[in-house]
Amino acid sequence: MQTAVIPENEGARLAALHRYGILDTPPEDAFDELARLASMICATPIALITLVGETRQWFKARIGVPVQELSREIAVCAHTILGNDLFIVADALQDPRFSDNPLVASTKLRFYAGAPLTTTDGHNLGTLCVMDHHPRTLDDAQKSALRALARQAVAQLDLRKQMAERARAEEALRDSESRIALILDEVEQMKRDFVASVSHELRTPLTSIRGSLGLLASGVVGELNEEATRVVGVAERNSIRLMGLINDILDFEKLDNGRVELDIRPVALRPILEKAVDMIRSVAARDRIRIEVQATDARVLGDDARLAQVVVNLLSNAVKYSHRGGVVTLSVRWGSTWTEVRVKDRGGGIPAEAQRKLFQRFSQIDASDSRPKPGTGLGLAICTAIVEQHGGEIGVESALGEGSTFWFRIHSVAEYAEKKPLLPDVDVLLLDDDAALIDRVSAQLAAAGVPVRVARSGEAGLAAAAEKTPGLIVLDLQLPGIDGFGVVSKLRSDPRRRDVPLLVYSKSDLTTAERNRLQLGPTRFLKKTRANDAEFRAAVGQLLDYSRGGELT
Amino acid sequence: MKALVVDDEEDVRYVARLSLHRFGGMTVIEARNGEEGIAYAKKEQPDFILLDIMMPGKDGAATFHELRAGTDTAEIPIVFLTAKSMAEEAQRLIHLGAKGVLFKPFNPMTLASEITAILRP
Repeated sequence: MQTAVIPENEGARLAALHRYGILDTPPEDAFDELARLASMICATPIALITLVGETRQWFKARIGVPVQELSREIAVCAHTILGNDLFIVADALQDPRFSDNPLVASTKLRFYAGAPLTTTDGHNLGTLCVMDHHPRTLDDAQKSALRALARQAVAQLDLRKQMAERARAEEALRDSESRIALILDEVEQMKRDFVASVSHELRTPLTSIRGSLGLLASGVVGELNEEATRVVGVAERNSIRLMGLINDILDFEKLDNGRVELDIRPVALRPILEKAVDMIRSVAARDRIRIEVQATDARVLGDDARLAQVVVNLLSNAVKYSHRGGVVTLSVRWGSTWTEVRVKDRGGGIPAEAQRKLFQRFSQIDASDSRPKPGTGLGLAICTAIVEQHGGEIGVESALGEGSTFWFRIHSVAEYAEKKPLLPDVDVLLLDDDAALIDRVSAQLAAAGVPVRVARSGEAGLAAAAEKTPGLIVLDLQLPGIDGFGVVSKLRSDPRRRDVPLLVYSKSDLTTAERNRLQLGPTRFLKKTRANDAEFRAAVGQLLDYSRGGELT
Repeated sequence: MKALVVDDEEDVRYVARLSLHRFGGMTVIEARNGEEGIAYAKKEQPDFILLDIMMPGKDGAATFHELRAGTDTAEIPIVFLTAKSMAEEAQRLIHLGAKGVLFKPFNPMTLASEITAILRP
């Protein structure tokens, strides 16, 4: 028997084969079909797509052969890959190279015709070959077909490799994207921690300065003359201002981080407005500015202290930008869904381009009148954070020369009071670790009369669901510990929980595959943005109706 | 020496006046904004103007340009007073002919001598 020689470029050839990542992969239709076509066209019982490795030849597709691979020593294909065209053995028993090949004896193979699988860079990775049990040959059409099918097999190998490379690249991209997102999150967090801790550090020495100045001003450490009193007054006033600025920064960072727990409940708006007006009246009186307040019976869902903070802020801005002797109007519009508080001044107004920047941090309006306007530029950013945590909106209407109206709207209580009470035993399990979102969502649900349970990790959520099957699970995909996918997969395997309606919150759009993995009972998907409260309420309503035995609309 | 201090913050004007008067023996006139500053500059003909850059309404730069353009105010030396973040703007104004730039917070003990040094030919 004659074993085929090793090709000259064997190292490079094996490396090329390795790059295709094809050895020991499962069968694929594309290759099976090519082998079947070869067998049909050449009228042979056997057809193979083989790949010649270092010590073995392995079959990617096989017709009429029961084994998956053979030793390279006895492989006829090892001869085929030495040439650049068809390798044909018309009768193995008559061919001294193969007559004593054990394969020929054991399988009674007599005829072989193989076309090398030649890559574009000239490596013969293996063959497309046909075999028969009696001596014969191929006509020209069959030979051409065998060559063409071999080229098709190489094309398939290339396609497969490209797809694998693309998938790898996409995965790498996803990996790096999520790593970058993670790093950005960390940087943002570090920045916030830094601001918070620096602000805290600043307060300590400032407290001593203020205290000392207060003592000097009071005269307890010695009488001051008139000028000295005034100098100390300047210092004291400005240290108080600086303290206010630092407090604003701290407050804003906390709100922006969602680290402020709002106490949202049904409250009457009127006392909140009155308290705010009281706080601002003396400042307004200094410039003989009158504050008109419209009476209201509105009841809203809110944290009264924080809402008062918003109103004080808007009023103090209105006073600040009013002309001396002007009027500021505080009015309320309320309906069953929203309550809107409006603060109107008759000051210089705000140009359109400046309105956009208004609600960002550290932004101040350059008004045309000349009264000083000390402030941090954080007031409106703080108001925005508070209103948004109420699930509300804030905005401004203004034109140059015509004054400005700042407004914010939050949920009315009436919207929910008018609804028929829900069945008591249907509750919502909220799985989320985002404090701001928990506040917002649970405020909305509580207001709708739906009991809410909150779990801040996947494990806690599963435990809560096991304790009592909820009427609806609202799930944030990103959870510490077991994530959203893990939670759903565990719930699915639990016969009493696998039909629970599910509302999934995700940061980004989900693929169909991901959505399929997240199906529980009736399942809805929402993107985690700040602007979909209405969508959220609609989805919760529908899913809860289902839980109460209704149909899903 | 007669100084004109233009700043929208009363406290800053007060401290500047006190230090220019007590440490430099200067007579100090205060203006609360650009318009007032221009009017006083014409009327009082100060030896120099200490001008805040960031002010509501007519800001320091606009006031500066108007003073330079005015026949009876063009020659009055102008020293800008600014927060650090405005340093680039101040540099630009020096190129346009401002006499100097001082930064907030200034030292009330040395403000007068710093200005005197800037004004020295």
